[in-house]
Amino acid sequence: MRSSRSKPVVSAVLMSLQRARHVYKQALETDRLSLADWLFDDAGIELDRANQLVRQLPLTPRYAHLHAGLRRLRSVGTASSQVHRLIVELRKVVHEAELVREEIEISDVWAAQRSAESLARWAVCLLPVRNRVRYQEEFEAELFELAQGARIRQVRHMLRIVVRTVPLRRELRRAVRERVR
Amino acid sequence: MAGPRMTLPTQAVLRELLADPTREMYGLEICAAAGLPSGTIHPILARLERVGWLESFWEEADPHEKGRPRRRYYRLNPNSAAAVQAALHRAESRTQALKDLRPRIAGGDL
Repeated sequence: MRSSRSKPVVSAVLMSLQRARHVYKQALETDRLSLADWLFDDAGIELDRANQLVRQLPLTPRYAHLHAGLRRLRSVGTASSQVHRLIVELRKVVHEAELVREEIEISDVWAAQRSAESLARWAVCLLPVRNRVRYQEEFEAELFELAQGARIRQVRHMLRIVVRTVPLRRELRRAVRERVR
Repeated sequence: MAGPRMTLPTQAVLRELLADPTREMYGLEICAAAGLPSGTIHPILARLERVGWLESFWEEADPHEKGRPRRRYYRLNPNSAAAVQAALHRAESRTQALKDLRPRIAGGDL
């Protein structure tokens, strides 16, 4: 084939390659695997078309090089569709894992809140009876304020209160004794 | 009535309350202002209330309107401001004296 007859074939190969590149790009950008599969197939067909066109060209070293390049491209295209599938599936699994982590965090938050509330009740039980209602309400108000931040702060807060229940109880009892006197 | 034990956290609380004697503050607010960890303040407030330096009362706002439980507010007893000031001054002098003493005990000063 003379070079004047080869020109339209090479132009057709170039068009097929450009279209394949465009379709591959679209396939890589979508998260819908069914659409991606269809686009990868479409791009593969374009590469096959380009390959067939190249076969019409004379077997000169230059065209043989192009033919080999196209074969490599076809196998890379197939591998790319698998990598793309892997990325999309991986993204789904990551999303699932994130949901599970959120659920665990939420249950931790509730557990922390329940622990803080039980600590508050426990601390109040250690106080003199006459002061219990007041401190129950005061501790609950504080837990509410602390609920705006990390829930673990509530537990730490209530642990500190429990630790200081003994001096608090002493002060409250001393106050009653002094009032009686 | 004898004054309360003037520990460093007690002094920090009193200093905060004395900064604006008319200001009403709730427990967590005092903790934050005095730089104390939350949950450590109730024995101090009870002690100061016992000696009559502090007054406490529930806020009158409706919890439903506020969207939160009512708070217990504390303020300095206006009649005790002078006594608090004097006690703080004494405590700070004692602390300073101890600080001055320390290098001499350690042999750092002649």
